[in-house]
Order: sequence, then structure tokens, then C-alpha cells
Amino acid sequence: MSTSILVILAIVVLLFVVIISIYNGIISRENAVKRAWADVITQERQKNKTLPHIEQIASQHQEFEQQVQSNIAALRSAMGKLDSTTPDTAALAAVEQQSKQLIQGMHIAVEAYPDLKTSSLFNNLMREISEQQDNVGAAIRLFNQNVEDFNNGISVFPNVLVNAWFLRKQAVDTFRDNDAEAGFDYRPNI
Amino acid sequence: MSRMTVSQQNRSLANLLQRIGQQLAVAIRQQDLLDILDEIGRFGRPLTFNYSRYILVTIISVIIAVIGFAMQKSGLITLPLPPWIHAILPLLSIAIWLIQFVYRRQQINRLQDQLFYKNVLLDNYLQPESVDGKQQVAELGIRFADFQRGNHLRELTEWIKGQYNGNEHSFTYYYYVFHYVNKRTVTYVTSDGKGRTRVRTRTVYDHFHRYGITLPFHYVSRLRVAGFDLSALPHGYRPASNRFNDVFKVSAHDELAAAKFCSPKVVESLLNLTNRLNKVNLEFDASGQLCLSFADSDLLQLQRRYGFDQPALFADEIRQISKLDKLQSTLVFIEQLMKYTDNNFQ
Repeated sequence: MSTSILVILAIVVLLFVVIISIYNGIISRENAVKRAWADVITQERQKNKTLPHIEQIASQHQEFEQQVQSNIAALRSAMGKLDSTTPDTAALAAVEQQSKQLIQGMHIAVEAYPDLKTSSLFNNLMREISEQQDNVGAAIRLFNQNVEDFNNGISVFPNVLVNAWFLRKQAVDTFRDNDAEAGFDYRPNI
Repeated sequence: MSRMTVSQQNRSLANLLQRIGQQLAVAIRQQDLLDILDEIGRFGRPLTFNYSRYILVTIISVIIAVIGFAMQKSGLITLPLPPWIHAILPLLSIAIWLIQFVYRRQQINRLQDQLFYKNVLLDNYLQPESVDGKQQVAELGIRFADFQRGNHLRELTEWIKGQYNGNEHSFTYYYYVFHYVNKRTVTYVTSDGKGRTRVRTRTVYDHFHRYGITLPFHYVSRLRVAGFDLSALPHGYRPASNRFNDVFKVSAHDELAAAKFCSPKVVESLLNLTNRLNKVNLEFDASGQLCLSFADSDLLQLQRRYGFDQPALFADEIRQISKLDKLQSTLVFIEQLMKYTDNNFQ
């Protein structure tokens, strides 16, 4: 076998290895996005743990109960629409909106019922809810990082070619907080 | 200035420095440090030694050397020695002068640094404790793998007790400096210039330092987060974050416990920690102790602006609170870990 054939063969093998490596990289990053999304949903569903406690407290304060019960029902309904397998940032935004309303309602309740401030169950609950919200926020940020890695992985050269030829994966949307964005006049031109 | 006066001058300064050293060793309050600076202020002259005697001796020895060299060269005297021998005396006197100068300068610098460091410790409620460094490492090495480094020597060179009071958690902790030495044999080849070579060996000692904080941590046990050369426990766990998995490896005796520990907020906090600290490891032992170790040596370091040459300004600097931001942010991180791993309903 002549040297030139050997060189061509080596280049073909090298190309093959590079393509496989890029292909596997894209699949791994996609799986990481799915996993991070599942984590976001898991964190959102952790709120189910605290809702019975809130209902218990609400039942002791009649006016408080009416408002909080409707907030809890709306939150449960929004959480029911979350799908842990497919990233759906719109459904997530709805859950986050309902969570904020519930927390706001509970803060208002504290003003209306000063004895709640001294309730250890209520204080522990508020701490738990606050930590859950922190965890949801962190899970979303980690999800967005993985989305960025994935989107970079299918956009940069030569990955863009491998994706176009063999995978045809679409870029994933990062989660955006529309309420927070509404407070800014500035919009990046991307 | 007479020779006697110079001698007295140097002796009184040496006595002052000795006294400062003794007072520093027993200082336990900021006022003790201010008293030292007050004494320096009352000393009335700069803390510099008078080297006129050394200069005089050097000049005389240079003159003698030049005369001797000239006489030998012109044949006035005949010595059975080479002419460069005349340079020995002046070089010797310059060397003695330089050694004295460097030694005394370092002594003053060391005392200034010690005084400032002591003040930094006091300002941050840190209290050095005297322990048998080798014994302490042996005990810590049973519980934490990060101390199982170094095949020749393992010792703690600093063991400092501190107290952190946070919004949700307060704790007592120990900051340590771990010094370890690796001994290895190196083989090398020497040549005698005539084509003959010889294989030789020599022993090399590599010195390393690790720094860390250890404290009681009751919410997690038997878990490791390894960012730098740390053996793993039986069950590994990979959180969802790509970036976290690039930096850390989590392992535990129980996979479920590892999954529970790696909440998104904890993962994010650990990622943020790597922006401030390098080569980070976390170990939670079976008895609920945490050892957070890293490669950064500057947690207790601050740059002082003044010294003994400006005692009044140095005293003002001492009166101000010296905050150790890097230490503080590390302690805030530990509090966050507690916050996100504890149970709010227990």
C-alpha cells in the first residue's frame, strides 16, 4: 500500500473520530439540558410539600384562607401543566408567577394577622418557601447554563456541520423572566 | 558623635526591639498593641541602627588593602601570596556590615508584620491555639483524606480558633495551615569530561501547603466534594450542571444522601466558591464535621500601609477595623451550605 493511500486513510479515520466525538458531545449536552430541566420541575414540585402546611395555617385565619386557598389552587393547576421531559419555559413562567402571588399573599397576611409572626410553624414555613424559591432560581440558572452549552455546541464550527448533517437539533430557549424584563427599557438586540 | 554614643544608641534600640518582641508575644488586646506603638513613639528617634563603626572599619580596611597592594606591586614588600589577597579584609568587613544591616532590617520588618497580623486576628475574633502540629494532623488524617498527603512530613503550622455569627447559623471554627513534604529520589548522570559518566542519586524534598477551615456540621455526613486530588467514597453522584461536573466530583456512602445534598442552590454556591478559592475540597466525616480545604494562602492576609517609622499613623491604622473579606465570604458560604441542607421543620 502506497504512502499516499495510507495518509488518505489516516485522514478519513481522523475525520471519522472527530465527527463521532462532536456527535456524542451534542447528544451529551442535550441530555444535560433535559436533566437540568427535570431538576427545575423537581424543585417546583417540592412546593407540594409546603402547600398542606400553608392550608393548615390558612384554615385558622378565615379571611386569609379565602385568598390563600385560591392562590394554592392556581399554583397546583399551573404545576400540573409542567412536563419534566420536555423543556417548556412558558409553563414554568406560569408556575413562577403563581408562586410569587402566593408568597405575596402570605406576606400581606402577616400584616393582617400579627400573631402569625410569632407562630414557629409559619416562620419555618416562610423559611422553607424562601429556600425553595432560591432552589428554583438556582435550578433555572443552572438549566440556562446547560442550554447555553448546548446551543454553543450546535452553533460553533465544525459542530454546526455535524448537527446539520446528522442530528438537526434546534437551539433550546433559555428561561426568561418576563415580569423582571418588563421593568427594563433596555432590550439586547440579539 | 563619639564611639561610645553610637554603641549606646544601637544597644538601646536593640533593647527596645527585644522588649517589643516580648510584649507582642503576650499581647491579647488591641490596647497592648497600641501601647507598643506608643513606646516606639516615645523612643524619640527613627528605629534605624547606626552603622558608622562598620563604615569606618570598611574604609580603613580598604585603605590598608590599597596601600598593601601598591607596596607589593611596586616591590617595597615581598609577600609569598597573590596580590588579590589584599581584597579579603575589605570584602570581609563589607560582608559583616551587610549581614548586620539585612538581619536588623528583617527583625524590624518581622515585628511590624507580627504586630499588624495580631491586630488583624483580634479584629476578626481569631485566636491562635498552640497544638502539637504533627499530632493534630494525625488525628485529622483519620477523619479527612485531605490530610493524607505527604510521604515524609505532615504538620499543622497554624491552628486558629474563630467564631462566626450569621443571620441563621452561628458556629465555632478552626482555620489551619497544613504543611506537608514529599520525599523522592532523583537519578542523574554526571560526566568527568573524559567521556566517562556516572549515575548518581540524590534525595529531593518537595514542600507544599494546604489551607482550610474545619467545624461541626450536623446536616450532612460521609460525603466528599472533590475539586483537587481527593479519593472518592463508594457512590458517585453527578448533579445536572455541566460546569459543576467539570470542576467537582461528588461521592458519598449513600447515593441518596449525595443527591439530597446537591440541591441547585448548593451546586450554584459551590460553583461561585470556585471564583474565590482554588483547588477546593469539602469533606463531611461520619461524626458531622466539615473540612473545607483549598490552596489559597491569603485568607488571613492584609496589606499594612504603615510601619514603625510612622508610629502615630500605624496606631491609627491599628484602631481601624481590618476586615478579612475573603475569610468572611468563605464563612458566609458555609452558612449558606447549612441553610440549604438543614431541615426547617426540626
